[in-house]
Amino acid sequence: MTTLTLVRFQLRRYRALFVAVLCLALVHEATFLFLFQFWKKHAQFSDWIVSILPGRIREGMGIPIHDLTDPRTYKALVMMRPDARALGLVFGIALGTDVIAGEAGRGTADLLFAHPVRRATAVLAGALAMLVHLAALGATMLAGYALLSRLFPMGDRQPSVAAAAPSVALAMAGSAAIGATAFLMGSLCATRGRAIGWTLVFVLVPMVLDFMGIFTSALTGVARLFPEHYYRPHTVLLGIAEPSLPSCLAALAVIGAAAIALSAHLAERRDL
Amino acid sequence: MTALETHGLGKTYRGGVVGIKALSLALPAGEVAGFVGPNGSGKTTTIRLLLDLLRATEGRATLLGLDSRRDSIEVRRRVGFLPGDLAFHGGLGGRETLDFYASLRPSRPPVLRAELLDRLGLDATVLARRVSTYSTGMRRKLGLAIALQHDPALAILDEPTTGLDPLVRRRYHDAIRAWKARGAGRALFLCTHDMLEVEALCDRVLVVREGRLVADRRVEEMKAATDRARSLEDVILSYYATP
Repeated sequence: MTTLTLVRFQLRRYRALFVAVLCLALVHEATFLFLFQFWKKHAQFSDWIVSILPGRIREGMGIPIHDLTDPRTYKALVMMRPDARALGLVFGIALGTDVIAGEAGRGTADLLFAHPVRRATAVLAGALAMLVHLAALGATMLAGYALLSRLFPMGDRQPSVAAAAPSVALAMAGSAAIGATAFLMGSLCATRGRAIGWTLVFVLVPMVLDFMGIFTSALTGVARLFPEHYYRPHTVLLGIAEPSLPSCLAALAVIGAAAIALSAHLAERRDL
Repeated sequence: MTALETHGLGKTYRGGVVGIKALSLALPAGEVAGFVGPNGSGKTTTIRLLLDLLRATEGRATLLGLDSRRDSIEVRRRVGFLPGDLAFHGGLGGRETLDFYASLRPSRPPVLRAELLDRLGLDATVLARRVSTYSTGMRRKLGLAIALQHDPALAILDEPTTGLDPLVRRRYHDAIRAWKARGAGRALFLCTHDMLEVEALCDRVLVVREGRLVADRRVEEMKAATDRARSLEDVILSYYATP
């Protein structure tokens, strides 16, 4: 009962952010579908990270350029995964760092937790609210793609909504797992600012290492093991994960649930 | 029966800063205690320990016969609390805020809400506004309505009238007296710096200094020690000074 009350409360509080992110998701879909019309005129179009390398070095390292004029590659590499995760992270960080650290920093914790509310319940309710937001975001991205691709068709080989769904599901699950990290930081840190900072460290450090993977995996020859996956560890992992989507989602769910459980435990032990 | 009791309650913060030390006090049911002391003496720390917002490093407390730590949820269901640093979720309206906090105690409906709002002068127009637009006085009034709307057996109010004008303060005191008059067993633990408030509302005075209880006297006893040259405030303040 209290959990549902708190979920409704969080949904009410984040209504404006929720609407803004959903609108941004639709704008994002429309923009990239529109840009595809322009970009597909080029014979080759590559990700900018790879294209900034001089051709001789790129060829020497054995890094291929993906043909992003292919709608399926474009959809998978440019449109869905990275940006969907970034949008999902907004909810993860906003809610995760707010439940304990945000309430304590704002001074609302005293009144809220002087009522019969367990801190663990508040953490659980925040996590459920985050999942509701992420599910709505994923659905909006897919619905936006379905509707807007009629306005800006990608032509032959355009992926169906069903074909795009696994990418979105994985992105949302990834956002939820990182969001769970934000809950953990929220339970550990004294202020929301610190919780956001540490969550970003947890997101950005692997991201930097991942980008470095473009070069290191090529140099060490690891790239040749997964030539279809662009050499970056996360794309390799996604390439492995996507064909076995249920087991990958289950693994992310276990990681997320463990982080939320730990977060609830730490929230119960700390001073407010 | 005691409404509130602590036994050797203590809190040492990280870094070794002592909040309170071996604090033992009791508030019988039906009484109003003024909890006074200099700034930084441990009043707010004590209140936050009673409500399980902080974890005690020594001792224990019971409220309405329940252990403040073990039975924390039941304690918080029955007790009403107004924090000193009162803050609300800014995006919500006054009515929404009242409803939200009432919904956290589904077994204790807000039976006193209408009466309290009427006494405090919070009408429908004010309650329709966002709490972020409220003045200090309106926020304190809303806070008191939240604290007492479920008709608690014990209320803990932390500096409830700080920053209020005399008229609002009078309304505030009237609302507290009306709640107290509803039942013989209702107890109030009032943390304050206002000695007039102590005189107006309290049956006894508990003075805390440097984290320790240094006086527990009935107000009549303290009044007996007054004369033309020495007011009740002077008597109470004499306990503030370090011997």
